[in-house]
Amino acid sequence: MSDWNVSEEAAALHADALVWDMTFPFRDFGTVELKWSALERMQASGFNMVSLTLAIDYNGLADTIQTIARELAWFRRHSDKYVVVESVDDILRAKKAGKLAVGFHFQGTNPVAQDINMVELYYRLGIRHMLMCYNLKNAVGDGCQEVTDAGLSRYGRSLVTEMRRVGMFVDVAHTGHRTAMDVFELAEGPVIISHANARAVRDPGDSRNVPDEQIKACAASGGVIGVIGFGPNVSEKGKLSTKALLRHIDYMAELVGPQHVGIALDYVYDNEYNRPNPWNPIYNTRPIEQIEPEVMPQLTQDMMDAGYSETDIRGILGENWLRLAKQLWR
Amino acid sequence: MSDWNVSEEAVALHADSLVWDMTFPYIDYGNAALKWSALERMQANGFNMVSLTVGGDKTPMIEAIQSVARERAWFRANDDKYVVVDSADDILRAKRESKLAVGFHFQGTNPVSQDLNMVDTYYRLGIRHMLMCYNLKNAVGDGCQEVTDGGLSRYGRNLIVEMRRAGMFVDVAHTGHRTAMDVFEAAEGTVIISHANSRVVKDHSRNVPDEQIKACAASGGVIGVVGFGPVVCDKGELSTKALFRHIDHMAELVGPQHVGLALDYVYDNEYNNPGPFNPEYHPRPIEQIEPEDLPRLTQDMMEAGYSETDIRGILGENWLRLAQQLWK
Repeated sequence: MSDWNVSEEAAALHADALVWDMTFPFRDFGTVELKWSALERMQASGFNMVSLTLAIDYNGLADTIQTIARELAWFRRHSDKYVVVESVDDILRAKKAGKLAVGFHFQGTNPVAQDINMVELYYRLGIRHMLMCYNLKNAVGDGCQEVTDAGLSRYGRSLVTEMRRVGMFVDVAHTGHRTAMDVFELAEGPVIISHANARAVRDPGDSRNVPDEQIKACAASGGVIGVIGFGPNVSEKGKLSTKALLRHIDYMAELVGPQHVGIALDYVYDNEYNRPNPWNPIYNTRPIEQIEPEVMPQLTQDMMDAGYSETDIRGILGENWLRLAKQLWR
Repeated sequence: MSDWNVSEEAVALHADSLVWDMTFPYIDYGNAALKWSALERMQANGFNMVSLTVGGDKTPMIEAIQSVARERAWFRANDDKYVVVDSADDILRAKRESKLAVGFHFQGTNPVSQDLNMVDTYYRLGIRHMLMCYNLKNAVGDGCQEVTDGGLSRYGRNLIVEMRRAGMFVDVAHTGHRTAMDVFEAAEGTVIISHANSRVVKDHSRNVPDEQIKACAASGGVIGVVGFGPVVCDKGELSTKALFRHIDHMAELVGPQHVGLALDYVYDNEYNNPGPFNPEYHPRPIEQIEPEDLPRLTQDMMEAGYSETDIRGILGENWLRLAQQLWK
């Protein structure tokens, strides 16, 4: 911890706090070996819980199940270092034992294959949130980079109901505005935005960062928004820093209260990996400029320097996600 | 319980015992609506736990997963009557709450799709045993009605190691003789024969020779006797006493602690699925032990002088012992 390069107070608070990252893309891309070392870097930088993307809207049911099976087997073989969580207690126990807790999510809902019964099965296998849509249109609604924005479908409404019943977080990150607003209205309970920044602070020229209307609706539902460290969504090129990220936290905390803000770095473990985004070339610069796990303690320091209370800092670092898990997971 | 039509002592023992059926074919065939009423009939006749077939060698992985999802949803929607079990404790709790406990199994290993990581995933979803092969050949070995009998494959050897690690029963019912014998030898632990009768008592390709019964018992396993007429006795002679002869032979050979029940009850006995491998196999309507006959079997065992401990073991506690030992 001495190499965190922050004040003693910040190091102590960062180490003691439960630090939770709500989005880590754990799929195979680029130099896949880096994904496991990236997890170790997360832990060395104070993270205690990381929610891993195991599938996205491009995946079907069969390959998704086999991906889950494969990752469960990998984490089981490394159970000296990792715990796949089923409950909030598992997370707290992992922190005490010096292990990294991991949970799973999907960026999209296509792995459900429109079989509503699959939601409970996925929950049983560890899936704790699903984005309604991932950038483009699917059977639920429109993604945030779609040319249409028509709202939540009939199937999507049933899906939200079933996700809430089994205890899975309903998540509107990457989802089109109208579809997301329909979800907030219909969900009758907390809806999260697992990973997105404030559009008022940084507009990357598309709908990936969320407008105040969504931030307010998310908070009103009892949900939490996770700020992301992916450069183009944080600040202009060349100006990335934890302070730039703090501006998003600060803006949201001001708008709806710090109890509705969390962390979701969305860390791309191979920052040379090239998968061009045809809808917004701003994301295509390589190497990717992004908040590295190692600078996380600095964010804690920044929040302290900005006068955030210890309670608020602990909330933002992880306890806000923890509160939701206690409330909703079965 | 008064309509069980057996002695007061038999009623009392049958009702108090944990009664466990290790094989109930729960896939959709014939008049599928009958499958739910058949479960109610099982419970009305004293069963507390039933292991349901939710997939088999003809079921690809994706269908097996969706079948489990569908059945779990159905049992959840009816959780006033049913409990899908994860542990042996769930079974005991279900009995106390007068609910029927259900578990899942596959008749075959093809749903694994040769992806060993799927074993643990299926276990998490409730699959508690898998037959190595179902009648015919697959990647693991030969089925009991195959023309070849080449023994356990390389993949099959890895599969049983993984099943044992995950806590899933390794099951050689419906499996070819040499493949089964290889499993007994390679497993280094308990192997079950979920549902088969004694070939000495009734000669049939589905029934198992004494060599397998002895090997199963030596491994610590249990064999479940089947109520499907053609494997119990000659046509027209079916009764609980005929079924009891299989129990008696096995108990004599290896001890009653290695014998259990697995009626393999076909809920629609008019359902026509001609077995191409043995045309005598499936006369219609199927002659079989009905769930309603079960209290009579308890009475038969009492009259034959079986001790209460042995009867309780055969009715269900032998399976329970294995679950307590092996399930994770």
